[in-house]
Amino acid sequence: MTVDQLLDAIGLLPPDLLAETERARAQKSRKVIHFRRYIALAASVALFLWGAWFLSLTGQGSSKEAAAGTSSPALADNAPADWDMGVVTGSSLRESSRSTTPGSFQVPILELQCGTQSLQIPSDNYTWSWSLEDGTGQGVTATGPYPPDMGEDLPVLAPEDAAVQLVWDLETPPTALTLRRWAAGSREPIQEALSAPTFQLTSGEWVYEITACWDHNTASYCFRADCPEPFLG
Amino acid sequence: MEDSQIVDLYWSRDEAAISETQEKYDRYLTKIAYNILANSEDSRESVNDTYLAAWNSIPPNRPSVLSTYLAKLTRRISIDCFRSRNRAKRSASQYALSLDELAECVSGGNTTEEIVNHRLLADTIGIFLRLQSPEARTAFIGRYYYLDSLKEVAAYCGMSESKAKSLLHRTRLSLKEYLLKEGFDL
Repeated sequence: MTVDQLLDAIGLLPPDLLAETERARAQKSRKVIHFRRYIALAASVALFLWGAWFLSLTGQGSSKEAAAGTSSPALADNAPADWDMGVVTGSSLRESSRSTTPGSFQVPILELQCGTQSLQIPSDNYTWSWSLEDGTGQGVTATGPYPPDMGEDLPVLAPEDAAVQLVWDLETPPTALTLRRWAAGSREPIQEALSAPTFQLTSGEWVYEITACWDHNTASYCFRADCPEPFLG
Repeated sequence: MEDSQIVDLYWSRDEAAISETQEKYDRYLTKIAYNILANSEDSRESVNDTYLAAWNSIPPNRPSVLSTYLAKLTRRISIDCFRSRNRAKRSASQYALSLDELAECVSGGNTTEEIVNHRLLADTIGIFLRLQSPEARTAFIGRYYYLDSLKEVAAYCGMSESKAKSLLHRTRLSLKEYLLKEGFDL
C-alpha cells in the first residue's frame, strides 16, 4: 500500500467523523477573529487615553467649537487679542483646570457655605488667561455641558438654610457675579445679577449656575439643590 | 444563505448556487486547497474546479452537510493537482509533510492501487478513529484530512505543538497495528 492510497482512503471518511474536527477548526478561527478585535479595541483605548493625557498635560484641546447650547453666555472671549487661547471641552476639564504648573493656570474653586454645610465646586465653564514670564500671555477656554443636561454629574448641595455664601480660593474677589437657575425639567433659565457673594435658594429642586468674572477671566460653577419650603421663612 | 437553500439552487439548476457557495465557502475551501498545494494560483484553480464539480454532481447528490461535501471535492481535486505537478514543488506543502508522516503506516511497497479497496480501507480507518479519544481523532483528521499544519492542529486541539506531534505519532502507530490486525497488506 502506498501513502497516496492511504490518504485517498482518509479522504473518504464519513461526514459525521469530520464534523467534530470542523467544529474545532471553526472555533479556532473565531478565537483568532476575537483576538484581533480585542487588539484593535485595546489600541483604540490606548490612543484615546494618550490623547486625554496629552490634553490634560497641555491644557489645550483641538475642538473647534462647543456643542450647541453648551456654553454659558457670560463666558465671553475677553482675553487680549494677542494671547494664545486654547479650548478644552468634555468631562476632563475639571481636572485640566487644576493640573498644570502651579501659579500659571489655576481656575479658582468655589465653596458654597450653607449653614454648617459647605460644598466645593470646580468650574465647568471658564475662560482663563495668565501672563508668562516672557511677558506674553496664554489662555484656555473650557466649555462643559449645558447645566440642565449635566444630570447626575452635578454636585448636590444639601441645604440647611436658604442663604448661601460664595467663597473662592482666590485672594481677588470677583468683579461681577451672575446667577442663573433652571427648574427641574426646564431648559429656560431665570437669570439675575448678584451684587454680593451671597444669594437665597429658591424653593424646590433647581439647577444653579454661578458665573464669576475677574477682569479678563470668567468661570462658571453649577450645582443642584432641593430647598424645602420651611427654610425660606 | 442556509446550506439547504444553496443545495436547492443547485437542484433547480440556478447558477446563483455557485455565487452563493463562493460567498459562503470560498475562504474555507481555499484554505484546504492551499494546505495541499502551497500555491495561491493552483489553490484558486482548484477551488474553481470544486464549484464546477459541485455543479456537475448536485444533482444527483443532495449533501446533508454542504461544507463537508465541498471540502471533500476540494481535497480530491487538489491532491490530483498536486500529483500531476512536478515533484520539485512537493516539499513546500502540508500535504507533502503529511505524506512523510503517514509513510510510517505503510510499506510503500508494490501493492497496486487496484488491489486496495479504498472504501473498505476508509471504513476501517473510520472505525479505528471512533475508538480513539476525541482529541486524537480531531488531531488526526485535522492533520491528514484537512492537511492543516501541526501548529494549527495544536492550536485548535488546545495543546502544544510537541504534544500534538507526539499524539499524532502514537495515533499513526496505533493505526498501523489496527490495519495489520484487520488484514490489510501494508
